[in-house]
Amino acid sequence: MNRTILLPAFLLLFFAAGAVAAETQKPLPLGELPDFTISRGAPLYQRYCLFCHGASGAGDGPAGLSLATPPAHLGLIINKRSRKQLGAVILTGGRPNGLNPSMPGFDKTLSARQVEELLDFLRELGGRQDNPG
Amino acid sequence: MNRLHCFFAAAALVLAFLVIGLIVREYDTPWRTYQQEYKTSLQQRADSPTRKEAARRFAVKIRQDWLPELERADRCRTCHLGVADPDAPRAQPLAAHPPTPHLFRTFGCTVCHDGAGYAVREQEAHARRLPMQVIEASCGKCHDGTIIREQAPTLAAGQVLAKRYNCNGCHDLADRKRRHNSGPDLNGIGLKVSGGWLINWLRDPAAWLDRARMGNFLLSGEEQEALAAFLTSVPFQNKIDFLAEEEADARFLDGLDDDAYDELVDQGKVLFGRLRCLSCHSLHGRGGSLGPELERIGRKSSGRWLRAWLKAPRLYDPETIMPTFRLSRAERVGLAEYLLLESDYLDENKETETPEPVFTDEQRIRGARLFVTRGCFNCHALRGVPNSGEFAPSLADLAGRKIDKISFGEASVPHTLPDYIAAKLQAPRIFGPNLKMPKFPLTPEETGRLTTFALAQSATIPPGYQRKEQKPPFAVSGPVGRLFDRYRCLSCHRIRGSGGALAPDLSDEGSKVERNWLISYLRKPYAIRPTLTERMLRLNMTEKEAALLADYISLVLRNNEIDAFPQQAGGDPARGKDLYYGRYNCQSCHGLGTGGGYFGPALDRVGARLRPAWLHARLDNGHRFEEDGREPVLAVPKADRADLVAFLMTLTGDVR
Repeated sequence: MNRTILLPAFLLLFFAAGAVAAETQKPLPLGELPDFTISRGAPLYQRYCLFCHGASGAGDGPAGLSLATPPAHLGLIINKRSRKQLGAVILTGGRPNGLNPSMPGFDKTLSARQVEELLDFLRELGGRQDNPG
Repeated sequence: MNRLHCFFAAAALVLAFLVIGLIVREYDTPWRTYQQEYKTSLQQRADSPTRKEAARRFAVKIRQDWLPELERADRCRTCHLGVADPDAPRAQPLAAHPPTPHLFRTFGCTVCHDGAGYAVREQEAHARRLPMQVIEASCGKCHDGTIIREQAPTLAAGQVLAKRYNCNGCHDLADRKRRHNSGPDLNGIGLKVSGGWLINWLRDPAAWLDRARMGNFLLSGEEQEALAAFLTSVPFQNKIDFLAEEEADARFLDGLDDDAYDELVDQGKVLFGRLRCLSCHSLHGRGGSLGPELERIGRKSSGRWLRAWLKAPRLYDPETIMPTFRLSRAERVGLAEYLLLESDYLDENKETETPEPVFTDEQRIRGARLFVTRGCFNCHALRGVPNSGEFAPSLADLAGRKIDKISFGEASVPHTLPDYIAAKLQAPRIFGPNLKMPKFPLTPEETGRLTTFALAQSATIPPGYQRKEQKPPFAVSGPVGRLFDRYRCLSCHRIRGSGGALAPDLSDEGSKVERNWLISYLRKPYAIRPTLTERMLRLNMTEKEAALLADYISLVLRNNEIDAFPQQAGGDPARGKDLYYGRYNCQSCHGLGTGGGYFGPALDRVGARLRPAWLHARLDNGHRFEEDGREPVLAVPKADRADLVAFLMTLTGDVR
């Protein structure tokens, strides 16, 4: 008689304890982790652009503060100009394109592929501007 | 007889049906549909006779890239027809491959993507394919260094995490054997912290310090106490040397009246700024992270330890990255008192002090055993504890591990290698209660990046590709070596691949700067890049030491390629000035006088600081000599260069 009650009670306890333990340390499968990939344009942006244009692209980088014409807010212009126009500014700088003359040209620094990667990353930045959070 | 004939006839019929069935089954595969789709797309896009002809001749057949050198035969392009066709339909499986430095004809697909290359049905082909989120793991099988930093940023972030949490302390990795002792030396830890603090720390390091490098070993309360009991009782070999000044310091402190004490603390504060402690340590939310934060040092370390440490850090921890500053007793004691007061000030409402725990010998013995079984010795040095032998499984060929050789236990985790690794990092005990791995304070994103790093650990490198051999570390001997050791130059600076990454690489410093400027800078550093928090420390070197270091640097740390540029300015400074402000717009990044930008270093004293040859080299192509230089490649033509350098060489002091 005793045993018939004990066994289910024991099992219940066992599974309950197991459920609690599993609850506290339930790992996410790889596919359910938030997007952790870093696009290739990101290190390029950090190396060449961030100091003036700022981490969010708002033109508020520490070095940008000293410029006569403040650096562009990338989030605002990214969707207004074509990819080709933006690429031209990155390659030849501000002056030939009638923009901020402080922007240097990177034609001898970046390969065509790197410019594309950078443009992809700028689109990401622009997207983040559109829907904050 | 007749019966036998009937039997053969029936068997032949069955065979014929089976064969027909197989043929039909093989014929009716999705890849034929894809190829038809692609052919249609080719025909629609054909705008010239040659392209029309090519579209007409497109044959529906299995396509195989045979790469005997790599021992692969990939049939992926049987479905993925548009990989090398930028105008291909956007939807998979026909879509174009994003830009890649590797050609499909030489590398195939499965070298990077894994999976079954010979299969032509999706389910079989994609069964063990590497998930796209962690695809950069494949880059790490052959490449390292700059290529990874620039081309595989997710893997690069994983590498940084692996170094930070010292995976290599317990595990062999693909490119290096286990290496111990990246955590603090624990000899004498009882002088530095209390048993109560240790128990608290062992309970959960991340609770004390958000970004603690030490993982949580998930110890029971008894185990925490036993380890603290053991660690606080370990005898300290250097105790007499380390605490030699203790009594004199205490007498000095006692002899001060209130005013003198206040002044001492004030001077400690001034000294804190002047020595540039913030380059490595943070206080009140500002400063670097190379050394421990100092916000709560008064709650962690004892005053007598701090005073002795500031005198000679290397007597306490021979491997410390902290340089030995030349400080007088008053300076040393003042700095220590300032730091202790700062941390007390923030801690007014701290919970009532718990009495210091009293430990038993039994606990100490149990703690000693735990120190070994939990593998503390893998990161921390302790006299008398050997740190050799097998400890944790080797990860040198983690990527090649067979999934059926991995024990998933009862855990409800998808049975794939990437999921196994991700789960193990998030919940280290999930596959068994007796496992030893600690839980590191990783965010979900960091978990994914570290998984990418783990999946890059592979012993099967395609033939003909080899990781670079690790260079022998840069080392100097003799009197200069002792200076390097004392001032810990390599904690922040890198020389020929060895050292830290906080400060500029000094490999070519001798070709870059003038010897006399270097002497004065070593003696009295100033801010060359005003926006940086991390600045050169004021080490209070003697004149002789600075001269010895400057001589060594100017003679040995040279680069022939830079030295081959003109050693003289030889141009027109006036035209150079026009070029500086006009054509090359240097002032948008470089400060000069009261104007200019903050992106690059200020150029006020550049004529006294830099050598003309280096300026020439830099204006030609700075990236050749600086791996991660931020300045765009300027490629200034030779004539302009001479004038610019001539102008820069005139800048030897204040510019009005």
